[in-house]
Amino acid sequence: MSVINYKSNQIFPPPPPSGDPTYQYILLKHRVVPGLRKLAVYQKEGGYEGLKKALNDYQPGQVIDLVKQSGLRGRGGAGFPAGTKWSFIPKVGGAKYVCCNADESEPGTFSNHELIENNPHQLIEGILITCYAIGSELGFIYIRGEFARGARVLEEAVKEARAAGLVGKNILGTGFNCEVIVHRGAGAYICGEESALLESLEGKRGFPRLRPPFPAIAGLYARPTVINNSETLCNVPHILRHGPEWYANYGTEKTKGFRLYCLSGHVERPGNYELPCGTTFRKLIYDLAGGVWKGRKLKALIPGGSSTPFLAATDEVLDTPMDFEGIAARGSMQGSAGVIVFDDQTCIVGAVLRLVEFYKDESCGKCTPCREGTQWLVQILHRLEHGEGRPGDLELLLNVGSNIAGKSFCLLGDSAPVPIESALKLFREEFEYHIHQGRCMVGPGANRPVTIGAAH
Amino acid sequence: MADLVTLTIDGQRLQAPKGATIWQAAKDAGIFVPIYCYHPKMSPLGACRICLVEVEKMPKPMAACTTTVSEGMVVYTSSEAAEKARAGVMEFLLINHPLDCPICDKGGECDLQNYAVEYGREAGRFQEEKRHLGKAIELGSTIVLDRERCIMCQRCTRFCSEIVQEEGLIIRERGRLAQIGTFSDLPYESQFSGNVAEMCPVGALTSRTYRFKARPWELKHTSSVCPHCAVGCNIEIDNRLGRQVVRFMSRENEAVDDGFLCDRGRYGHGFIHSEQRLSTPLLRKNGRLEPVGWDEAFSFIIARLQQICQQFGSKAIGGIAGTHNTNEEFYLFKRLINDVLGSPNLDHYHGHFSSLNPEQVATFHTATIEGLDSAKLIVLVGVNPSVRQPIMELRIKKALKAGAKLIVIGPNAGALERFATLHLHVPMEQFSPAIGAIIAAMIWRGTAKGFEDPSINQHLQSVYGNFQTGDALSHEINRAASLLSKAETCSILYDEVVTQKAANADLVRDLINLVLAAGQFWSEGHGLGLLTADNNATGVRDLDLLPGQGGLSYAQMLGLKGATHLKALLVMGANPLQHVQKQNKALANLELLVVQDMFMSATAELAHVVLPVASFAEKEGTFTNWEGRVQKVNVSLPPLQGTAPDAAIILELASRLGEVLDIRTPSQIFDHLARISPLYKDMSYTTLAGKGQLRPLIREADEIEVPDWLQRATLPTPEILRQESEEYPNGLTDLLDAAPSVDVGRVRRAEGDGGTAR
Ligand SMILES: Cc1cc2nc3c(=O)[nH]c(=O)nc-3n(C[C@H](O)[C@H](O)[C@H](O)COP(=O)(O)O)c2cc1C
Ligand code: SF4
Ligand code: SF4
Ligand code: FES
Repeated sequence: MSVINYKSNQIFPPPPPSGDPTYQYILLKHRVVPGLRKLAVYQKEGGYEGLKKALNDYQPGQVIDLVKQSGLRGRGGAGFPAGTKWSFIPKVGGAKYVCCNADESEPGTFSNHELIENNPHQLIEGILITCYAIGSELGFIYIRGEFARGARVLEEAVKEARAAGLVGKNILGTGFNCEVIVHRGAGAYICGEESALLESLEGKRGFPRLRPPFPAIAGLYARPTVINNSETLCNVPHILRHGPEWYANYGTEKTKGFRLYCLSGHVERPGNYELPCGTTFRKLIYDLAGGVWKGRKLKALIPGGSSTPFLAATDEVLDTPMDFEGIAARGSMQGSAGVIVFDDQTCIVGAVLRLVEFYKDESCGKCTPCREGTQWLVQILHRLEHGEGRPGDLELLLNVGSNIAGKSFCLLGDSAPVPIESALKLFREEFEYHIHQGRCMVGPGANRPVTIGAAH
Repeated sequence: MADLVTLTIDGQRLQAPKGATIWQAAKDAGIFVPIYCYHPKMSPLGACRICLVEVEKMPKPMAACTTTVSEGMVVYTSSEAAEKARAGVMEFLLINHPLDCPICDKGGECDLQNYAVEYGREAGRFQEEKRHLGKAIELGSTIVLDRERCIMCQRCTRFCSEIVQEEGLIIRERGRLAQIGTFSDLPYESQFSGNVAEMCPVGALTSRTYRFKARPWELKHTSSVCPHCAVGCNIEIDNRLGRQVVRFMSRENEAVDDGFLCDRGRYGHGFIHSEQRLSTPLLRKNGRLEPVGWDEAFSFIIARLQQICQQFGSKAIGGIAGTHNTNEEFYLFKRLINDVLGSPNLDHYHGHFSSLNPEQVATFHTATIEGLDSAKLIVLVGVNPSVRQPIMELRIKKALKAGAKLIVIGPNAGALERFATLHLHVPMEQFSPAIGAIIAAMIWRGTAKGFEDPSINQHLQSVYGNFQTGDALSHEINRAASLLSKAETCSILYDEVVTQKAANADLVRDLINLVLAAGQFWSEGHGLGLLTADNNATGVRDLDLLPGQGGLSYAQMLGLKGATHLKALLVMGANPLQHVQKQNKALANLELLVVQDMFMSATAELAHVVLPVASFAEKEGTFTNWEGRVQKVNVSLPPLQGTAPDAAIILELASRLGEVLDIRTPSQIFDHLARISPLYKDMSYTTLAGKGQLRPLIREADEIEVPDWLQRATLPTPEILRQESEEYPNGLTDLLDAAPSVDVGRVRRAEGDGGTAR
């Protein structure tokens, strides 16, 4: 059972010992190497060798090629090939930047959190290599405001690295100069969206930007900029150190490597699981995490963070490999690999309300459909949840949702109706039950007395 | 052409410039796509989504205002998908919008209301609680905000951040709670504040002066030109039911105002209906000015004039015109003084500042307002547009935003100061030496562009070649020289007041030489610009209201240069007493002082006869702005009961003096001017309507000989160049801080009835 020990560094429980030889710690090595947060320990474990190799053995363009060959895809959500993204940076003089996206705010996602707090040098090394690859001398880590501890750990680590000549001027005597700046956000989900992140980093209000121009051409301070998720960047030192072939050995045909699956919800052992891409849901939930908690049954799952559609608890779904293509084939998305498990006692209406409320609260307010529509959706869902549903509400929900999705300025708005649409597809009867009975069909709310004024 | 793309919008095949947005292409083709957040003067935002259209091959509807056209693109602005998308957006905008229309100033000219009729549903589907936010919040002295009506288009906030580039309105909070406000709730004070109310597509921002004053359908719109400074921003005078002017709105003229007004202009209409306006002629009887009929007033004037003429000759008569009348009135006034009365004693309000005559001004002053947009360098010599020509501040900021550099010579350039690349804070007497030093530095560096032209080369060499720059300010002088040498296009602007100082008698020559050295002499739209302050200070000079042969100048007529033989003085729209001491002998000793004005003034207090005149909104004619653009004003209202337009007064005086002028109406006069004056050559009164017309440059040949007077530039003494630290003892700061005289003279009087916001 997971007991969160706030005093220990490991706020997530380690996975159970497993006989599976493919199971090993790479990004999560801190779980088996105490004190990995310290530079000395990190170096003893082979840390900064990737950087050394990059600086000594390769031209910047070759580093990009290596990362391309490895097949590393972005971990932030869209899964864009990292090396390809870097190769978009024009080979012009002047400032270029690397921004590490450590804003991690997608509900159900917490891999960056653990990586940053426990193995900051892995990330710093990844940033340095990326800077070298694209010809940048300045990397930023935009870290979610609430990650106060992570920010301190990173700042400490940057200081240590600077003292050791790994950050700053003439790194490792190679003539490569690079600074790393840790910047704390102020607590907005939208600032994880890359263009809003750039605005925020520039000191402006976190509103997403119009594209084009894309960040690779005009990003931070209108200069060419690479933005990658922390986990994406954490992979880079290992690719350099062990080579792209080693990396590409893991994973599936189109989704290479391993990734941290953030498992949360009604499972016995929630937490981050480092697994080769393409592991099945079944293996993750049942073999590794001990299955649905309290001996209950699986009702549904969200495969990749709150912005990805619900999947039903079918065998077909459970045997789906968790990679971009596999999950897409089931009608959902790999997203940020935040797997959220719902047991059979969950009232889907309440769950959806909670999810959509998040988008309402986090809508930046720039565009009309998301700003106004999310509020309306929540108002309707709130009524439904509290026994004041009306006939026609479900059609209204879907219609309002369709006026948001695809009409908004950025993907936040597009994502807001996703839980509603997918839940209605799978569990429409529960919504109808709420309208007609004024209470939940399943779970503790099922015994609730009918609210006055409800029940049509 | 290479830079055109072909696309199809609603089945119509058309071409649009590469890089244009779908919205622009549609608009050019006459296809209407609604917009809220898009504003042509600001960078596209894509926030409101009301402009969504369907584009073939695109998975989702695209914002027409942010999507650029591409070859072969197929767009549907009113397909089912496009209509659904827009109807959805419309519904979202309305669900939380209050049902305020009947009491909202914007009702009747509101984009939300209008498109709601077009795209909205008949019945609402929203049955939840509307969002409640603050209403009728006074943001500052001019603007009132209703947060519930706001549709978050960010036009107002972007106006502050992108155009005024100052702290102003911002968005606070996030998402559905986002609202317009200011940092720490500080009052929103800006001299451009009225623009936010004008560009707000809904009734969220309203002007205090206009709130609840009228309904849009009661308004009659008249094209006119703002009378409050020499830029001459184009305005629309809106009067309610033909009775009262309730507001001025911008009537965009890209070449002049770019669609903006300053608050002085926008809110400066109170004077038209001021209680203090004169509405009957006044005649001095027993030492007191008393109301009389027009006939009595005219008879008195004519009798006195004839008597003075007989006794002292026509040279005992003089005329001083103001700087606010129309060109046509100036023409008539000149005819009255010079021809009908036969006196050469004619001048205008300030006297002439510049050592150049009007034709020379028109020859050497090539800078235009629009030219600033493409200037790579702007040099301000004793200029503070924020106070004297406010909208120029925005125009210059626009250029700076586009990458232009700024050199400020002289005192603090107000709001523009912080944008300056280089400051040469020299006192006013040192403008000439400073400019001379810069030219010398350019010659010394071999970067004077005049050097490409041998004759100019020779000229500059001979004047400045041996000029020693000395050590003082050498760093700044060199920087300035380097900036000037590098700039492809450069506009050098100076304010007329700086030439008022004796030390700057030759400043204009030095400035022209600087233009030569900077290679801007042939550059149209760039080069030198003379910034005047009053709205028709340029026109009055163009019309040559200057002393004739042997005539008395402004200062002479006022006795500032010794006693005169002047016995009668006719003053049209001026208050010369403001420039002299109260106990002015010359004025006190006059046997006839006639003042035509809208209000009492210190000069009018002394007059024998005061004639009440119509305001600019009650007459038609033309004004010439500082760059030489002639623009037309039209009649919004009939003259206030009891008043008469200056032109009518002059014509009546002339005819009573036995001379019926045959060229009488504004159009006759202007077309006559177009025939006789090289300055207004080939213009015509009818073509002026609309956007006005720029005075032609008086340059016939491609080459221009460097005139004598240009070569005789006095060699300034550079050693005395010094950085001025604190106060300007010479009072230039004061001069520059003085707004155009119309403010002092007229608008202030109207403050009582809430006419101005300042
Ligand atoms: C609303 C929204 C929130 C996002 N939040 C995050 C985030 O917290 N962290 C992240 O890495 N990417 C986030 N993204 C994705 C980023 O925009 C971007 O695609 C990503 O950082 C790219 O990195 P990658 O290529 O390494 O995945 C978000 C996107 C959207 C639309
Ligand atoms: S969809 Fe619109 S309101 Fe929502 S977060 Fe994106 S830009 Fe902001
Ligand atoms: S106040 Fe008006 S201009 Fe400003 S954002 Fe709201 S609707 Fe737009
Ligand atoms: S006008 Fe196009 S999005 Fe607002």
